Amino acid sequence: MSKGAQLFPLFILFTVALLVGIPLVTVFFISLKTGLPGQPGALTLANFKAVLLAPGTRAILWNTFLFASGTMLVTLTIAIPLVWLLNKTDLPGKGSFYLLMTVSVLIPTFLRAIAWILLTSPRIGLPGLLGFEQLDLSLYNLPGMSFVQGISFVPARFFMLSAAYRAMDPALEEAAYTSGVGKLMTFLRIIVPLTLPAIAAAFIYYFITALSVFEAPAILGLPSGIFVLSSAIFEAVEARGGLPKYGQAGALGILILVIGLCASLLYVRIIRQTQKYAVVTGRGYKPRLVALGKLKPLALAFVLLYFCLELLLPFLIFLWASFLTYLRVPSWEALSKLTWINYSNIFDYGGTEPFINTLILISAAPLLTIALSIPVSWIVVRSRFAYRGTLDTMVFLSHCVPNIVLGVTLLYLFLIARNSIAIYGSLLALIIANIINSLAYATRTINSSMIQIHRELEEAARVSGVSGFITVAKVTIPLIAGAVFNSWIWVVLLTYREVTMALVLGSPENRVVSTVIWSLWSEGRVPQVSALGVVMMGTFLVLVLSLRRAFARFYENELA
Amino acid sequence: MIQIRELVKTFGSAGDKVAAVNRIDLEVQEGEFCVLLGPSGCGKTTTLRCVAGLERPESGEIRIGHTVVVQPATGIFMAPEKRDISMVFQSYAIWPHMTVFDNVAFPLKWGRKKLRKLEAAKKVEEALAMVRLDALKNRPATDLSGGQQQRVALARAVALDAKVVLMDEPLSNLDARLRDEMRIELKRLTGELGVTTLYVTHDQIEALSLADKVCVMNRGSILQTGKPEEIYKQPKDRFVSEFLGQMNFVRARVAGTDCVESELGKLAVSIPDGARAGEEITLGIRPECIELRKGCGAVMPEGEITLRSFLGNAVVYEVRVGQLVVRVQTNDDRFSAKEKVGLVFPAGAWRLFLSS
Repeated sequence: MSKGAQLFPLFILFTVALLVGIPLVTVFFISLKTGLPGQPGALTLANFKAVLLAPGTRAILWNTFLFASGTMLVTLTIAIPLVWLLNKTDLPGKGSFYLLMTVSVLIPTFLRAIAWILLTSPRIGLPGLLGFEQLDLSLYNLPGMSFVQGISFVPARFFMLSAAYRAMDPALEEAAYTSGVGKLMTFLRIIVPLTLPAIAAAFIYYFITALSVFEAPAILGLPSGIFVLSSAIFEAVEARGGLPKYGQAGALGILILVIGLCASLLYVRIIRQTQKYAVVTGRGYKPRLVALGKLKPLALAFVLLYFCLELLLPFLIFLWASFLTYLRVPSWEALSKLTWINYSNIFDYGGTEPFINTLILISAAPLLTIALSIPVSWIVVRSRFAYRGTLDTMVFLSHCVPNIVLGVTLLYLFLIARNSIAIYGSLLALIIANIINSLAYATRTINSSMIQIHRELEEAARVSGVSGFITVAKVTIPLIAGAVFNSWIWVVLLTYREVTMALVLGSPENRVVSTVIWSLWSEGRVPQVSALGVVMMGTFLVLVLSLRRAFARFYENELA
Repeated sequence: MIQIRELVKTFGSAGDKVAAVNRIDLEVQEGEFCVLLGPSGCGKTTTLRCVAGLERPESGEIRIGHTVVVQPATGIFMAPEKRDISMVFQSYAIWPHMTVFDNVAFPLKWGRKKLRKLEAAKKVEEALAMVRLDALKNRPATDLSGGQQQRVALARAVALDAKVVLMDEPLSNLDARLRDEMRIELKRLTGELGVTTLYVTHDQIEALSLADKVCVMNRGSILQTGKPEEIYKQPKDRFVSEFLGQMNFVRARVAGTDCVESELGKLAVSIPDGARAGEEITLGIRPECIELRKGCGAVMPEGEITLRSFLGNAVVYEVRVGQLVVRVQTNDDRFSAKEKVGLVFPAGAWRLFLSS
């Protein structure tokens, strides 16, 4: 390899280390410091002492555990039957349900939480509509948080589980049948052992994610004083009426990180096992469909009910509320009072600036993420660069850092550096945060499509005299273009709906649509929230439908 | 044209290294068709990939023409794209996002030579005509059958006019009939072009029919090098003889200067100088060298046919002689199962292996 060919991977490694390594190290640093960023002071364990001895901490940990378990329970109870129904049975309309699922995956959790608060409120939602004004359906508690978070995880989990399910070679199952083994034994001795690692890995992965999510716990938990680790971190930094306690936030962050890392190690070990089993990946996958028979109406009702809860009701309540001037239950009389004012005034809520900021953010961050992910993937998957393992691990680690922890860490770093570099409170801060946040996702999807490109396709170009750079540009990238494009669009949507880091790193200068909705909500301006929410969901819908048309072939796989 | 000296390539981490190629020496002359033959894992593909520059050997030296392309001792390593080679891959490596024409043209436009558009187009047309694919040049490469993709891969390699063409089991993904056709076509094509070829395969028929020179490999070493006839008729050891076709083995003891005591009785065999009387040896004879006779005479071993398998142009019999089962291939189809027959072993047909 020539000198230049060695330097380039080093440069990429350095960039990733800068983006991922520094925040990771900083979490530890923050947890060992007291006072405000940049203040002198020795390293100390005082924060851990304060956090561990605080009377509320045990409750926080217990709540976190209950919330994560409850979320998983809700998600899997709904997702597993859906995976089976939409993949393996003769349920009618599966194509449309897949499409609806794709649309559902894109509604941000915080919008969903707000929608469900409205839906369960006697003043506007179902209890009023159905005439049960006295019915208490409050969601401001752990079961409510778990329900909202759980149901908003269903679409993404559905795609992940479907992919795992399809990865199993049906011939393995059929081989058992043809050798005379019955359905039950085949299920117990073939299907379960083969899919168990995948399911276990999925469980762990969901648990890690549920541990660190912030949106439902913030919207539903903060007002009622029910804290989980992520919202406790937020509260420590927000510190209404006091100095922000960065040190304690750091200590709590370390707590999440340690739990998350342990679980991740387990995840990696199990996933290796599953890769050993992944003999054939869905090639020529033609499932024999199970006939539902008499149960078909029941199954159909289940799926339709699910989409009502997941998509239709939240959207309808926003739509209704967006045309109101004050909250009221839908009725014929209310219909005549509907108004466009919330839409026509949409630029008055925070000015045009949040829209412009959002536009800049979703143009810049995803593009830079993809531009970094392609070389990272190539180095990890294809090159013989000595530190490619290190690079892969670093990217993977960035995935273990929850958004709330990443946000606080970056805030801390930007505060320290504020006198020399003016990143604090700027849009650039959000761009950097989103790049770090989406790097793991983008790299993983590009990795998996690059692995599928037969090595000999690149080698064939090299041995016929084409240089390494041209080979990547003319052979590799065109072949993974679909995946790259998909990954890019997905990162755009992730960035668009991201609110946690935007809140933590927020300032009057870098307000984006999601933070405007958040602050309108905290001010109780529901109709305005609803109008913006409808606009946001509408944009998602248009984007997804048009892209789905353009890239129908790739979509299902890439979402997983 | 290709010169390999003491080539070593190991795989695996520091703790458990496996030598895939262990001190190989090989020379391929200009215009020669050289086949590396061996079972999977014998190091033949690794050797080829070292020549291509797709693997870096630990030590040794490879020259292509007069150029040293790799010599770890002095740190010389020429990237694959700099070497004057072209290669046909086992998977064909047809770029699925290009048409047939573009697949052949891409290396010409972006490779070592960087031909002008018209010049490249002319080369592509010629190459495609040579593999009789000129009619399909505007098809997307993915619309082709396996055999057609194989031809595109060949055309791509040929169009480059490289000093050396490397082929890595190019026929192994084709079905049997197509493989026979392509093998004959490959023979015609390389013969016409007179190009220097290094060809890797595990298929003895490909090796014997295509090669000017065959190198039989096992466990990272070359066991025997020679013309196909030479290797087939005078294999150096049991491994080579078994890998190239079938052979019957008979244990024996040297009984004199021109005979042995064997499981089949006393046999007339010329004994080489090295063997002493009383020494244990192994005799080998190919199934097609043995003749069968109706009835039995006093001088020849007799046996009973236990299996008769009709192949169309020949018949294979398994004949039990005492404890031994001898395989015989002949075009004499008059014998039937369970029949008693006499076996004739022409004296010159025996191969004698001293050790084991």
